Amino acid sequence: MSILTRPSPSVESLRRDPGAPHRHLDWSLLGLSLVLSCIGLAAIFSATKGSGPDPHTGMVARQLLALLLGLGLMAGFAFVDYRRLREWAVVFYPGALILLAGVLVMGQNVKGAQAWFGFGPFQLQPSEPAKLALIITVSAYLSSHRHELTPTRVITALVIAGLPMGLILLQPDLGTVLVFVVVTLTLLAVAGVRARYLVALLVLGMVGTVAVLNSDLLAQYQRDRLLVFIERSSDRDSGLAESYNVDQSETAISLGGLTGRGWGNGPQTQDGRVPEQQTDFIFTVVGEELGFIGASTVLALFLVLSLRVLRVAQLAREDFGTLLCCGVLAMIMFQVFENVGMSMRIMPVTGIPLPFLSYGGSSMLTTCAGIGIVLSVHMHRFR
Amino acid sequence: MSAEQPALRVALVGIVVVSMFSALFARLYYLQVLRNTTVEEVFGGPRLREVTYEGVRGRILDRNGKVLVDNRESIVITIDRQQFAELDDPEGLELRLARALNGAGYPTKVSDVAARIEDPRYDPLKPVPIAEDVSTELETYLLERLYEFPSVDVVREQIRTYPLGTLAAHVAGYTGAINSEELKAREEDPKAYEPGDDIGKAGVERIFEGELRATPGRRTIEVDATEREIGTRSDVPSTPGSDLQLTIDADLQQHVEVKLQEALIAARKQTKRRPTDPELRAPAGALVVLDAANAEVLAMASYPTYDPSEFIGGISAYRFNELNDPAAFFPFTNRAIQSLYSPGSTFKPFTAVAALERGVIAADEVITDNGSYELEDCTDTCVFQNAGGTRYGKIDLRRAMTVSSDVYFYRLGEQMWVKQGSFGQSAIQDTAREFGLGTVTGVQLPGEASGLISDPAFKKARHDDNPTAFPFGEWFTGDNVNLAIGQGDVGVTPLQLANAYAALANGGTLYAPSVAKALLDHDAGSVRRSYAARKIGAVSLPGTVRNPVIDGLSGVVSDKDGTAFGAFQGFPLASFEVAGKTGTAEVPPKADTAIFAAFGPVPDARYVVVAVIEEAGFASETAAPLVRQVFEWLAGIRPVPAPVPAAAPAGQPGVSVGTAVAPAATTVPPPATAPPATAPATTVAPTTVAPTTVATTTPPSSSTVPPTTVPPGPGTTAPQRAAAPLLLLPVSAAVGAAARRRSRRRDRSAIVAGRSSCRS
Repeated sequence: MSILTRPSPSVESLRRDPGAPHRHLDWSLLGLSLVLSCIGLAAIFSATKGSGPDPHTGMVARQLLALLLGLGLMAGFAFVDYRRLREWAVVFYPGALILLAGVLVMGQNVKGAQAWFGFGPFQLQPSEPAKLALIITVSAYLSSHRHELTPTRVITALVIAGLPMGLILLQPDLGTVLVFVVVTLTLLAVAGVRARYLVALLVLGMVGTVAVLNSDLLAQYQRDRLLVFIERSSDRDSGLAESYNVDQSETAISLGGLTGRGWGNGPQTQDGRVPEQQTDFIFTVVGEELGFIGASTVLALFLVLSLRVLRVAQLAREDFGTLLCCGVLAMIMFQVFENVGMSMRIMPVTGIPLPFLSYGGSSMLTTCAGIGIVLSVHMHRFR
Repeated sequence: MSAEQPALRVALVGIVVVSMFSALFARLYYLQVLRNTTVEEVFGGPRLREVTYEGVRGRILDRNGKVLVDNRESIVITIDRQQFAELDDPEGLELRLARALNGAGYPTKVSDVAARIEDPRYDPLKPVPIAEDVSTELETYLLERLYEFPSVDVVREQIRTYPLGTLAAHVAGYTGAINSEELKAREEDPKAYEPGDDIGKAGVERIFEGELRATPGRRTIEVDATEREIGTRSDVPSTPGSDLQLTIDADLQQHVEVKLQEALIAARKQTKRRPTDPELRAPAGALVVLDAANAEVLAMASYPTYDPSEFIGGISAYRFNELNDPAAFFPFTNRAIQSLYSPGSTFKPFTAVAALERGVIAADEVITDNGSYELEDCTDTCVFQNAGGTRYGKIDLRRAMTVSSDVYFYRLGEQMWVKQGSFGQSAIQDTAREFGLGTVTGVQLPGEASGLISDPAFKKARHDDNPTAFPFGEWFTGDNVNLAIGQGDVGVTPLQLANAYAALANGGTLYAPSVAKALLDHDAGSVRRSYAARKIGAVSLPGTVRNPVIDGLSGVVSDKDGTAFGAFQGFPLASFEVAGKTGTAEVPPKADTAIFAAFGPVPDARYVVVAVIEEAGFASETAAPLVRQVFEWLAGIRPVPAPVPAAAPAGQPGVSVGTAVAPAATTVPPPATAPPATAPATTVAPTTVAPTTVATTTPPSSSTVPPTTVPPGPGTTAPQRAAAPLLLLPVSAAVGAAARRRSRRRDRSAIVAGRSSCRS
């Protein structure tokens, strides 16, 4: 790569093999992940301690457990050479498809979506790890055909991405499908697919979306969510119950002001007025209780994290690493944008978790593993 | 863009990322800084909440300061019905709550919890009490886990407690949660009520509600957006209600209640004279002790009674219906003021007074009693007989009263009607009403019956109103003859009768009977207000009228031919002379009602005692011995504890206060408009339950009874009064039995001739 910037090697590091992976662990990514996760724990505690809809202090402990497992997973992916993921794709991808198909048969139906496997007290949402399987598989396919991205190959890549998306649409979980769409488009763009193909894809996608909206493929609540966003209805009596969530969420964030109401003192949060405030609407807790200072800090942390991942993408030794980083970046960034945007009524309401912050083990493990892959790209950039 | 420029594409991704974040930052800045919403906009301004809380209700004390009704704190588990209705899993909550209660040692079925929640008796807007009086451990357990028990709450309440159990339950009454009607009626009450507040439902708890109720405290608190308390604006503490001191003497009341129950049990054990006689079920009775000088009620007992503690925290609908079942003989009825009884021969003194003061007869005028009386100018069967047809020979008024000659009074009744030109159409009735009979006495107790003294106008009005049921509208001589001996359409409450005798005893002043002595400052005892005797009437009773009547009544007890002579055998009449009158009123088809009304010590009588026992047979054998036992207590004679435990002492029979020992079924005393004598018969279930414990009083040992005082049999002289102090013993069933047997039927009014056919 032409713009690689090598650190100037000291005498000591030269003697001790300066290219050894463990010497290039990106502490900033690890630190950012930890800080964001801790803010998440604090927010979950505040959201679940009061008279909210699901008062359960056990959620904090479960989230902490997920974080510890996630850190282990992150370390595992970091120290494994990311290039070996190319071979593992043949395991990950069929595995993800089997899980996604299995959840439709044996999964639990929670709030209208057949998206969870239940293992006693724990649940697994297979669409979360499927995101990583998709990133790895599509990245591997595109990077192995670096300079020959013919329409056939692009279509092949779309089929690879389309199979899990179709299965998730059957659950149905529109939000996660949107993440898959964004990740796939990002990978195609970064891999060098011609711009006109991408434009053609976007047009097709829009037509397809309108077609889907007018068909019976979507559940009523999903259509309502999109319509709420489109119509910008803030009237609770408009018949669209979904607007209630956004009204409450927007009010809560607005109540936060510059400095916030204080941790554990958000009137909306403690009154339990925002539904799903420990999962999808966790950002309202941050916004209301920590104010603009706290919420913009969280956003800033995500921005720094994104730029770090982008930097790793640039530093990557080969295209596969670059694509992996961009895939993970697209995954995290789109979720942040969609989740925070929906809380502030600039995006439609979809059930997408905020990485590191929302309560949920599957999301935490997946995000940590994604960061682990980025770390691996960074650590193995010299050998 | 080309494939050869991946770095550019990555940089483009970076631009997209930064622009997305810019959008988020901008929106965040707009929402939080530019368009900052205040809590007031969302939730409204700082809010004030007014919380009222009931204070401590006044206690109820007896005349000597003994506490009859007190308060204590109780921990109550409640469920909010509205929250409960919105639960996803109400059955699960019921199960968990029942489990928690069982775990804490309060056996509860899940269905019990469900039944409470669905019980329509509880105010739908107020939390339903699920369990009362639970331990502080359970309170702590639940309060720490309220999130596991949505809609459940644990509160502390002041509840009534009854240190002396069921004693004087009919006088004290009970409290319960205010219902919507009561609430509406008290909207303007200075001691504002809220749903769920306690209110007196019966007895003095109801009549003195305004005095007993505490002035509620009011606390104004400031709450934040989430309804959490921030601070207190003002706090006006509650003022406890006044303590109410009754005129009741708890010790006397205790004695009276026990003796009344024993007398009922003894009455049930009598053997019938003839197998065809009605069953002597003695299911119910009443007893009143009045202070003759001011009509203060010293004791008032009604049996069967109830347990006011069953109402604490709300009585279940099932239990309430059970207690109101006819088979329970209506324990909530205070028979002393709510039941009407035909007074029978106890009415004769008032007939005598009516006749004497009008000069119908002179007290010393002697007539001949041949055992029956034939009306003059009567074409049909016009013969009225003494009970059992007994001939008493030549008798004056005193003698007639003592032996309870019906013939003597038949004659008075006839003469007063025949000479209505001189005496008016309602001579007897007017005198009876002067004594307060047939009208409410005004005692401070709810639901008092007014009673009935029939007269020509009443009879006509009743006939005109319903000619089918009452075919005769005309007042016949026979009606007046019947009335003279207290039969016919005459219904009085035991309290009315007692009050009339009190007026007779105190020289003619009629007071409104009173159960309230004073209002006291709560727990302090200083008198806030005392209730003076209320004079409501006066009867002119010159010595020429009163003395012969009282002499005759004294003879009832002390003369060997007196109808209550046997019952008072051994009573120290020399030091505590008692005057009284037996009455055995016919209530066909049921057995006779036994009544005994008495006062003492003569001549300056202080106490009036009236006892009524339903379906008990002869007053001389049931009511009179009961009254004697009350007078023993009033004369300072207390039951001597039996030396040997095996001999069950009087006063401690295994009689449980309540309805359990009452026989199976009976009729209610009829309402005021239909006096007992004419009441239609009510279907009577077979008598099944027999009392398990012998309640007959037994003399402690024969050695303590001087043999000389025991009348050997008929024809003995009056008891040797010199020996009276040695006779401080409960009356024995054996002592004087022979004497009573002699006087058995004398006071019973037997009407042979058809009432309707007697026209003159």
